[in-house]
Amino acid sequence: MDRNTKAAVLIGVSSLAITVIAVLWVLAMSYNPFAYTYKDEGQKAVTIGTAANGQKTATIRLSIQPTTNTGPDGPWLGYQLQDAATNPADQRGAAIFHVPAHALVTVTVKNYDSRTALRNPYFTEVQGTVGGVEYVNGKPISVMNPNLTSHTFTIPALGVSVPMEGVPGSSGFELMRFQFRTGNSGTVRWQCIVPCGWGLYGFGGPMSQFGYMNGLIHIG
Amino acid sequence: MRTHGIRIFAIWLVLTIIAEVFIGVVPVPSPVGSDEALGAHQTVYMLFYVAAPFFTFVWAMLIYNVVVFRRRGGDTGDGPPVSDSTPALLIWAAISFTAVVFLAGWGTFTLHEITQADGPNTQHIQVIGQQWIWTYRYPQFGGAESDVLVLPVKHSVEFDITSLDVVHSLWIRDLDIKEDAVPGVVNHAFLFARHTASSNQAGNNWVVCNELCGLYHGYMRSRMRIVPYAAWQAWGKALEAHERANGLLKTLPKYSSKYFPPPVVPPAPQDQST
Repeated sequence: MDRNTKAAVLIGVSSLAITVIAVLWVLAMSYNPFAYTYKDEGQKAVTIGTAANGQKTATIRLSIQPTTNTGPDGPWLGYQLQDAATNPADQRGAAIFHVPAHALVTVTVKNYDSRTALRNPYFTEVQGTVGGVEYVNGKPISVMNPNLTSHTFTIPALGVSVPMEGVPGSSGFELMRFQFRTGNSGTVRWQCIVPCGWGLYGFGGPMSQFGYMNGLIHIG
Repeated sequence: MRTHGIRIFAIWLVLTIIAEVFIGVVPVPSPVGSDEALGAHQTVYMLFYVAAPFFTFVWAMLIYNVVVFRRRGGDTGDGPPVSDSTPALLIWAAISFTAVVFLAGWGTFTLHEITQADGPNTQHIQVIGQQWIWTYRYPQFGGAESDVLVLPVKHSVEFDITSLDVVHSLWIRDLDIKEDAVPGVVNHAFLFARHTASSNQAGNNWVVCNELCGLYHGYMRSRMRIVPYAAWQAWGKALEAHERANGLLKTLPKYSSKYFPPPVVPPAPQDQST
């Protein structure tokens, strides 16, 4: 092997070694053995079907309970599966839902949380739902008394915003039901508009951490 | 020396003509949907037009000197001594000073023009930012509120911008409107829309947040429409009638240019234990 060949081999081997080390370094930096593996149970709340007229449908059954949502940061307030009150195994974050495109979605929410004032009473209006109403314990309303509100289920991209009535004391629940229609395929986020967390202006904690008072809806 | 000067001048002249034509031909990607955007657009162009001759002069001098006065093979001696030229320095300083003062004057005048209401019939619209949604109140329609921004075309509009939580920034790129939304503070921005428009799937004419404001900052955007004045009036009156009929208007606070209802903040879990 002459001198030039040796140099070429040396450069090639060195380049390969540097590349391998760089790849391993990136992989090592990407892997965090201590990272919390967030397991969202949202799809357990969803039932997909087809109506007699061929209309695709989806039902999302949720609940809101104070300080029992064992999401990424422990037991905070948050949206959960609807049987969370009786089944501790359901006290997990319910934040990611998959529903069909152009479907009629029915949402029922059992709210066990108390009432919290809205910063912006605009969100007492029921928006974007079928008929412009929600049913609170079976009674249709289009605007909620701001003194009764607790949270909202708001999907800005679909123009949907529904106030959730809070319980007057510390026991029982209020049952909300509403329907909305999905459009084309895509991903939209949902969130609670009421500043029901803590910290600066109530937007800390569960309002700022994924999996409690916000999440995503995959349509399609 | 005179020959060198003539050559440099010729090179500079050619480069400058090319640069000025290039600036005129290649569109600067800035919006012109409003008078305010047009003012900023024209200022950007003026800056380029005035700066181009200086840019080309520096490059003409640099390239000419590198090529003509470079050290050739075997040449190890010093170059000829260089002496100052007071007239040249004065001319350079005077031209630079004039250009800078002209641009400062142009920019100041434009800034003054685009940051004030255009006429007495200005329509106020209150912009409220909160994590992570924009809403708009219309005092001329009984203080009705909407999550869609609807504007009259060819009418002066003043935005009264605030936030309920953290700092947001109202940005309508196609209208060149960008102003911070700060909790407890009312900031103002002005607009005179030049043509009708509406949000589209291509991403034009959306109201977005331009200040990193938390988890869903990237999703904080709302639709916008610019419509003829009569259509704007009809839309606003319909909105007011709707919100009056369903009782929402009664639940909204009385309209005020400052909007900052007191926050009611639950204590954090660790606070509850103490």
